Amino acid sequence: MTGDIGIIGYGQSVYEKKTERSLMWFLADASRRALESAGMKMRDIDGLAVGSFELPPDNAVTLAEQFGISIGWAYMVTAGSGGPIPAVLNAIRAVEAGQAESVLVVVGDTYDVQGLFDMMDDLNGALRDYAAPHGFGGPNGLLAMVTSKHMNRFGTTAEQLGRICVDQRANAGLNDNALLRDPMTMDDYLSARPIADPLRLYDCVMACAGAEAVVIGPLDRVPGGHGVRVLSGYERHNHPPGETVPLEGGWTMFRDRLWNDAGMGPGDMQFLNAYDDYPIMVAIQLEDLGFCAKGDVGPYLDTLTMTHDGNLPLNTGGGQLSCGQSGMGGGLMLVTEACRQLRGEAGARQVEGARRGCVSGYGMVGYGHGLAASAAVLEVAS
Amino acid sequence: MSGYPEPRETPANRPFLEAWRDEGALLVQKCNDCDDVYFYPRPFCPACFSADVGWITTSGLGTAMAFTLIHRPNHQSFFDEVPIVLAEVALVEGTSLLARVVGADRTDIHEGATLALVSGVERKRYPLPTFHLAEAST
Repeated sequence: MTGDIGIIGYGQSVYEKKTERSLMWFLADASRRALESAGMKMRDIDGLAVGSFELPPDNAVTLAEQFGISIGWAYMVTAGSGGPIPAVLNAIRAVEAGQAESVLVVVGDTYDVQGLFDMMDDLNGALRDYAAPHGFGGPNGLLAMVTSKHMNRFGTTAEQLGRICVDQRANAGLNDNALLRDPMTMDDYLSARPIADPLRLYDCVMACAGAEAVVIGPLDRVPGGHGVRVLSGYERHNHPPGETVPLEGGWTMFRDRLWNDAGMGPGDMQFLNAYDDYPIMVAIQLEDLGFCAKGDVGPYLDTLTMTHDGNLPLNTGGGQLSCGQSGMGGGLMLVTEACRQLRGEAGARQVEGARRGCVSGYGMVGYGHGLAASAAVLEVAS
Repeated sequence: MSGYPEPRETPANRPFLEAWRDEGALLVQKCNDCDDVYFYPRPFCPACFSADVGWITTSGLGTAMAFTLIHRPNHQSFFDEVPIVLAEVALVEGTSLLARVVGADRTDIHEGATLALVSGVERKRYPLPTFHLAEAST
């Protein structure tokens, strides 16, 4: 990537726990806000990437029809919530290659809790045929096994993982669009009802309706301090192949390139937005991205304060654990919140002097675990 | 059956589903080219991509590598049976699978527990190979 093309606008829709509004409404709401942030109109867009579990039978081309635009590049986000970061990377490359001048990337879903359960029983052939008939509990059941295995193998404790949830909740208290904003103590966290042992209520994301969007284009199209440059980014899926409940993901395969390309390391990051469907996955991303060694995340978490004013601000808007999980939208919320921070537009939860940060995606639950991993290093363009 | 979600039967998984339904056996696949043993059913080997794959009948014995007790299952057919115990089962024959463990609770399920297939009429209510604690059956 040349560094001339980046993220020039971002937007987040209204989030709702249950909605009467359509998926199209949410995709349009997030898109409108991203365009406004870029100082552009929908008619300026000539490339479109869309991600949504609920979108079929519609697709990127029929969405262009809905939005009333003519496009030279159309892209469907795959890889679930591991996919939006790669969509941003591919959109940058599409603009660099001249296939489009300005790309809108929009991702979202409108599930409520039961809708998510129904979707998970039929998410893919392997889950439908070999997990749903066991009453597998969806991602809760699978990630509970990852959590329990990590605890047994490395001694990671509920209190250590709980610190992720508690600190993110404090961040959410400063985010008017987060659905769960009430203060939460460690006692609240530990005494919540069990969902799938060892997971309790506040370990599990709440499905909700919402959408996220970014605009990709030439960074010089927006004033200094408003563009976000992607210094490096990678995706890796189905790693390690053939394991049912692994304790690592695809991040280990590109971690060195990610940091080398960016010319910096984990210690240079002023915040981390890591995909937080469950705290164990944040912990595994901390390990696999090199913030700490494999197995050491428990003691490492003990050294961290993850609030927006802490020593490693994590999911500064509260993350999905507090904002709600807008289906595939959760994978792009990592990026929109990063843009908000890097542009200095995060209000009361602003990370002071934020100039660079890391975003890390995860998703597409397969037979036993999420298959998709992605990450990028972002920096504000002056 | 008990109203549980059913797997979709296809030419690729029919031997597996029939063996469980008719004989209470757990079949997994083995590659005739590279000897990789794998689950879930596919008409090709995920290790070397050979199309020359066959079936082996397992001993039905395995080890719980990870487990959870699910208090909120997806499908309503499980609601009266909570917690559902789900485990990653490493088979003696060398692959692993997700499976339900019945007759166990939090006092006796543990990582490393030896598991065996349920048998007899009990198995007929389960659409997929289902385990119980081997210690409990002896």
